[in-house]
Amino acid sequence: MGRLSVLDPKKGDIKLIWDSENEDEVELAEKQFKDALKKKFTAYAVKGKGKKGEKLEEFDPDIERIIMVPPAVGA
Amino acid sequence: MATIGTYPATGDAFTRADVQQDEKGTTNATWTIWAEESTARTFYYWSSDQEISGGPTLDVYPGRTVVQKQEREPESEEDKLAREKSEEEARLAHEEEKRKEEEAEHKAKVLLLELIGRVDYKKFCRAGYVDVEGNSGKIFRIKPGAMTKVFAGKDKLDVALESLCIAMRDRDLPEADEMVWKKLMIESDEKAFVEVANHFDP
Repeated sequence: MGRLSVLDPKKGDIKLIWDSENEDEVELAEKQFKDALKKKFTAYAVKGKGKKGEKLEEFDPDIERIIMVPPAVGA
Repeated sequence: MATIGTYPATGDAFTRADVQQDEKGTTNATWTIWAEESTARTFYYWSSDQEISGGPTLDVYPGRTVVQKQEREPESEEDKLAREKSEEEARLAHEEEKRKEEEAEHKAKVLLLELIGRVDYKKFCRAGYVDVEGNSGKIFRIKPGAMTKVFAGKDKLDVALESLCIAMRDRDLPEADEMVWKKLMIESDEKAFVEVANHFDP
């Protein structure tokens, strides 16, 4: 099972869970992933419990945990 | 002091003293419903996008106009019911918004806990920050808010090298989500984090 979290201030925290064997679920998750990328969100594959995340450019349904965050600006 | 109305944005009550403070322009509070003081003069407070009718205008402030009337006609039963209904709807909407914010905060904390582990999460709850190591070996002390202190390494946490100021373009995320965002960015793309940020003396 894969999980996608999109930390979207406008829509709230969007969460999606997919089974990599289920094409419909994978398709839906990939669409969500691409939509967020279009909005300049950055995707990270994470393993949790202090382990480092890794930046993702493309959706991979076999990754168990993906977090997408909004763009940054200098403040 | 008696409450004479509520701020639509927050649902917080305001008193005559608050109104006087606003009249001096010392707060940014705005409201769109009328407010009444029962003992002295009667004031109506309107947002600037509402049509003003009746009574001489006393003064104009950013975002609102204050209108004074000498007398106010008694409220009809129908108007009273409509007003009470409107107030109740506003109260329920405010409560719903608050509930959603609390839910978002809770979800964000769960995500942060999942990401950084129990030890660092406890440290965050206690000290208000988390130390994150970038690829360069530098330590970034992240906390809610824009400023991040940078240290030369794990064993050099006594003196910060500099402070970085960076924020999300949309700043309405819960604090814990902000921590998640900074941690992921520093660990996977320290260079971009440093480049985007504005740099200040520690």
